[in-house]
Amino acid sequence: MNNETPPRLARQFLNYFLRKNLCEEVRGDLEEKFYLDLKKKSAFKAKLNYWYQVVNYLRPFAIQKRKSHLNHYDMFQNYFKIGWRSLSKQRMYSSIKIGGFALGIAACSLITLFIKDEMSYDLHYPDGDRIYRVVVAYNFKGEAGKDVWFQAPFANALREDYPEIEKAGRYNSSELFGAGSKEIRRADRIENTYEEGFVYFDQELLDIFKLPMVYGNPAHALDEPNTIVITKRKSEKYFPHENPVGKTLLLNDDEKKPFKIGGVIEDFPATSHIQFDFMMTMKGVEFWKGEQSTWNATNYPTYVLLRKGADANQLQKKLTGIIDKYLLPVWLKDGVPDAKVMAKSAWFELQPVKDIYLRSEGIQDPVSHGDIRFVWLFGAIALFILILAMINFINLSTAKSANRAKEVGLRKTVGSLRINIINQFLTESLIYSFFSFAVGLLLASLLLPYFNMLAAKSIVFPWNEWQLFPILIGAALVVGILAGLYPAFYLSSFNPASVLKGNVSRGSKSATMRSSLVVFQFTTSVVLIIATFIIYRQVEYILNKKVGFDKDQVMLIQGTNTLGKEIKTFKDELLQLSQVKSATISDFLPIRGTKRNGNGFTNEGRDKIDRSVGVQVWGVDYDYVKTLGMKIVNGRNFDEKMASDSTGIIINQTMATKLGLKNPIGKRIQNWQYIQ
Amino acid sequence: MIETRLGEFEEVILLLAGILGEEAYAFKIAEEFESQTKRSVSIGAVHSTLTRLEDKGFLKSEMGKSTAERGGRRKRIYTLTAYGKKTLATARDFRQSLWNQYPGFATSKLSVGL
Repeated sequence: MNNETPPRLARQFLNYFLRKNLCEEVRGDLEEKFYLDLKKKSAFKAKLNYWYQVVNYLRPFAIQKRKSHLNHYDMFQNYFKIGWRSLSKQRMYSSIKIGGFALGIAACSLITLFIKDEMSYDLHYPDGDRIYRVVVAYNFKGEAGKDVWFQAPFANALREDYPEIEKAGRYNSSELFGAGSKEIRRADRIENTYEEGFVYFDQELLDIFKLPMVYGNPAHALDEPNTIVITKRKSEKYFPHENPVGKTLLLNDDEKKPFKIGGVIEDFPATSHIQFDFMMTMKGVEFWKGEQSTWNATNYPTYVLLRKGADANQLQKKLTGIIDKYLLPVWLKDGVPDAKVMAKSAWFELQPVKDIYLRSEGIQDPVSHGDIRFVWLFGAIALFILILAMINFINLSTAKSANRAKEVGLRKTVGSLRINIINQFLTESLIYSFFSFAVGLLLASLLLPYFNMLAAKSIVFPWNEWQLFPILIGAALVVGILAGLYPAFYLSSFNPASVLKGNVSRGSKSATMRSSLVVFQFTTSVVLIIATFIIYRQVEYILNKKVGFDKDQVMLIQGTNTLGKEIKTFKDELLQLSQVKSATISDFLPIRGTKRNGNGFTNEGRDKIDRSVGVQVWGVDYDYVKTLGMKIVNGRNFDEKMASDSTGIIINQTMATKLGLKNPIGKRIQNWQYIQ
Repeated sequence: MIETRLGEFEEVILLLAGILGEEAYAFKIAEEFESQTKRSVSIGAVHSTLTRLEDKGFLKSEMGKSTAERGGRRKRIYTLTAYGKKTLATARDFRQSLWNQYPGFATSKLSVGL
């Protein structure tokens, strides 16, 4: 008929398990069956049937007995039984042993989860390996730094001048430009809602990140003026169960400038360095006349997508061309002092997007960060905790060895080899290890919510990741064997004759070993405790340091911008309350993390000569100094009755020093916009 | 009496081994079983039963001659022992006596040499 033969793999399998004395007849029978089938049915069916017959030979009578294997199995069964008995006989001892180990494992796994979360930032972009954030670095007259803010036309210049760059996009998250928080409502509703997470975004930045879209066309979501892209959760909030694309949102009640929804994206994953909810298009936006073409203001973090195969290292060296071509002429025109030296002392770097979260040490930017050094530090701590737990385990095992000495002696007398005893104690150690892992993981998953609160994370236990259990079982095996190795060798070294006579010889060697383990254990614990103490003192210092204003009794009421002109009335109402001593209205707080508006100031008339002093400017009312408990060293507070105070300014001592003003009262200073 | 108790499947296999005579080896018996009962069975199942019946002493077996159609491999031919034959007869007689006691069939009494 044809040359079909029984499937080779099935034959090999049969040979593997079949009893040798049955081989001839069975293989003959099956072959006869196969060739008969081949005449009646298709080759495939015949082969399938062959497999079926082979599998049906997996019966006790036909399977080759492997005697040696069985013996080992019996022995391990016995080790397991004895291990279990000694575990349940000494409840207290076992629970200390398991509990201590489990605590170590719980701490270790929480830290591991934390590290895993820290390492998983910004891995979700489809073209992630080609996305870079542009960083500018400078070292001018001893003043060095790095930041990520660029001029509005910078992105265009990059794309046009460098063929390696496929796309370049920007965002602007500065509150001074109207990003940050806003009042929002649907055009067909009346009530406004306070929302945060507004940002100005380029269509091209959407293209670079390829943020997954639920509704709308990702390629054209932001390419018309006054369009906005929102996240899924905000879409669910304002347009439940509908497609909001094309609908209108009003921001800050501005009916003259409605925003049309261009698309809905999936929420940013928690492991994204940027977190926004409302992305307003940059298309057709100009914050003041000429803003989009000026090379004098840097407000835009800029990202690029390189072409496939482009080398970021070579490209970033070439990028300084931007300075010579665009910036230097502007500086020269404006008469910036030392413009040429300045141009030589700045350069650009391309930072891979996956490095932004952990490796932005020394870079000023508007996103929150982890720190790769902390990841290493925590990893080291986790390892030390695990080692401590293991040493503890080892010491507990050897300390109780006297109790097991008779058993070891007897086992040896009836013919156990040393390797058998080692196997036995390793098995026992594995039992403890698996128990401890189970308890430790339970503990870790129970503590995870509190840990999340502490670390400001939203980590979930990865129960449904398939790698989890193989990793855990592997870890339990490794840890169990490592921790059991020394006790196993120690206990198996007992001399049966002397043990059975009743004197357990504790060699001096084991004493040294044990005491050095204890010393290590104590040293590590003391180091960790000291470190905790230092951190505590640091935090204490931060909390109690005198910062020049009263922190304890001042409360901040946010969201009062919605009151508009009624704010004065609100302040008066507050002052009526007996608990309120003083109240003030301000648009700023003297702490990090609030609104920033870096501005360079110089003494009047010296803006072309001196380097400006970078400061933050904020608007306050007459009661500000009093309410925050600040002290005026020189001069006087603003006075409600003096009209000329509307151009007045109060500066702090540091600024006076930097400006070189010995007696600053009545002096005038300026920046690019105001003269005061 | 446990050793002599025959299951239904065992009884059929034992009978088939008797019927097939010189051709009574695992594969043939399985084929015959399938064609006579219209029930499918694997060779392994039949082989396992044959081994068990041999252990109980109902069957004995020896390797036959080699044949070209199975790659020169020999077959194990099973033959009924006297004990096997007796057990089959006892099983049949026992069943017959039960049939005879069943009133629903009393009218069509079969003549059995007793």
